[in-house]
Amino acid sequence: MSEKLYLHPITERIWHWIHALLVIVLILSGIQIHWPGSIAILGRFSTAISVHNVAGILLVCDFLLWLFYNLISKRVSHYILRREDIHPGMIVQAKFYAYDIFKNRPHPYAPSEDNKFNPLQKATYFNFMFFMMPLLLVSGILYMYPLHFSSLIAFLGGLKVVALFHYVMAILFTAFFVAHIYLATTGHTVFADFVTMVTGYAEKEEH
Amino acid sequence: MAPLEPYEKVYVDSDFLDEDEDVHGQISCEECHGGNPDADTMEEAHEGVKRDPTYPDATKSCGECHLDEGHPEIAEKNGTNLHISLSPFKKKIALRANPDSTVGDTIESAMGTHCMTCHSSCGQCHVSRPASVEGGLIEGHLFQKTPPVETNCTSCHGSRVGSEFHGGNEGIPADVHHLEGMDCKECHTGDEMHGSGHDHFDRYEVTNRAKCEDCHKSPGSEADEEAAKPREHPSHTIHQDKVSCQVCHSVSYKNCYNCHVGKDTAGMPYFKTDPSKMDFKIGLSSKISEKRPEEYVIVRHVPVSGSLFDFYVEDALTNVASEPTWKFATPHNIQLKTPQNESCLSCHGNNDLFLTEGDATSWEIKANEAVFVPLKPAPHVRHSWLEQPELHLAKVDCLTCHDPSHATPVEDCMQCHEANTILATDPDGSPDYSLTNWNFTNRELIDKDIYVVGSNTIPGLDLAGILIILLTFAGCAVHGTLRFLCRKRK
Repeated sequence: MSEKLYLHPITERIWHWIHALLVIVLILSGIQIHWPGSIAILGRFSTAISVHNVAGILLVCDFLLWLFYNLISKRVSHYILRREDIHPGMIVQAKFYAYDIFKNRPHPYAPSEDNKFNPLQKATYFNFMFFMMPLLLVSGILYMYPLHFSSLIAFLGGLKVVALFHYVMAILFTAFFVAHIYLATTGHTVFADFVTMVTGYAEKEEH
Repeated sequence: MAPLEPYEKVYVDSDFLDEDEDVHGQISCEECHGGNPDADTMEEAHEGVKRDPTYPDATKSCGECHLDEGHPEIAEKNGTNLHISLSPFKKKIALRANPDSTVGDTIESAMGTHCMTCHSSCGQCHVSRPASVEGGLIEGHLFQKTPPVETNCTSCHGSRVGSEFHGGNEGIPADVHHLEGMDCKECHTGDEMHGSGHDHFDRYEVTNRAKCEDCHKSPGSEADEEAAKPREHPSHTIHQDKVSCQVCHSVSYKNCYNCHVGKDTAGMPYFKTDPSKMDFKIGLSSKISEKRPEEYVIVRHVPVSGSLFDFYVEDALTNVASEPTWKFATPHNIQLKTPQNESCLSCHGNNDLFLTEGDATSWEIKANEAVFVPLKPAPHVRHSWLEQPELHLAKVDCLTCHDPSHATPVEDCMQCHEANTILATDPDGSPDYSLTNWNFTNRELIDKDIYVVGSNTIPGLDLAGILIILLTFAGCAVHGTLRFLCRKRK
């Protein structure tokens, strides 16, 4: 029997699945809002707006809880690139996805309880969660309360600029969402990482 | 109005005797005024002389000629001329009065001393100033076919209508009709002034009264098609028969409060009122009729109070609260643009414009129940079915949804929030811009500083976004397929 690693505490797993659900709802409602004449996933346009607004507010709360949890517990360290992660880590990991994975070679940076993300995961998660997610949420809040933030919106170039920025961010997050789900299948089995995200435990890989 | 020197009041110009100047000069003085021209002394000669032979009954003076010539019925109907009869004063006070007949007699006597002295007559319009403003011949006894405005219209109607019309109230512009060179007679014709033969309850019931629609064409009005002033603003169609013209086109006007009458120590009658107040209030009409169907009208506070006749008799107006103290009014300070017609929301939701209980003193609340406007929820509350109601109200022209050519307002988000938005159509409704082209921005809407979710999609950016996501899918699919093909077979 292989050794088990406890990678994802219950708090992180609950957060992760709530986050996933909210992101899916936001993508679907956002698609309907952006193309209201063509797509009616959630029925009426006003329903899609309401769902998007509620899910957006919940995502803000969800994000802030995640941020405080990681800062206070110092588990933010999982997202911080170390020197060796940048070089040669990122190149090694990229080479793995581009070549070694097809040779059925093991992951170059198998997760551990102290360092659960590979270098490319760290770089991607850090950018999306500490940089792009706040921008997405702030643009969404400005978009949701335009009269309260009218001066700031005017400074930024108007509501259309905020809207376009929000839209571009949404596209990038949707692409990230697709890639994230696919890359979750690259564990030692196709469903291993999904099971880990439910149970919290991963099998320690042999190198 | 400048006061007259004593001699000016009685000076008879020699031109009056010139037939070409005034045919009335051919009538001997005693035929109208009485007296005895053959007497030897002044006292005898003036015995029975009437200063104003046309009041109260003009049939024996003006009526001798004007009954048949030129102005039939004028003298005959004079008794129903409100300027002469002042009958609305009596009727309105009677409604508020103590039903005790003894008190009623005292009120009538007091009114005779005070209110009823403000009448006019044929002579007090066409020959002299009204006696209520100390009289005095207008033009050396030359008859004036049209009474002069200053000496004979606004000498009585000066403090409210005159000041409004001529711009006499500080900070309030003159009526646009005055600025265009019009005066009273342009609207208030002789027919309206001379009595209709019916004893109307008040001046607003006079059937041939002046109406805006006489000149400003509206559906069903009798205005001459070619001479009529156009009323192109769609607001007219929306508010037709619901809101009086003055609600949108008049500005602050004078309101008077708490009149008291009495006599000073020398026995001279006087009246006192509280300081007047400039205000603007929209109330509910108590005069809705086929001719005057508007529900919302301007209301002016009238100078009445329960203690009006206290000097003469206490409890004279025990029913003072049986009638409103804010009354239907037509302020004469008409403007094309007013604070309340700047935009729909200048009026809708602006509770300060509407008469409510908060404007009344305690005893007036019951009196004005039918005039108070029940306030409706604020516009953003009434539009709470919209997402971002405040934003919609701030950015979307009300008429975009409340199009008067449609029976009901737009309540479907999709009419705006899709590529084929009605916002991109011109006022005639024909699309002049295609949102399916590949321009980077939706020029028409952006030019209006409007960003409309869903209708402002940028085709080029949408394509880029869709490609990014599809390429991600494709990359994952290719990568996954290769992994599957290269999988380690056990």
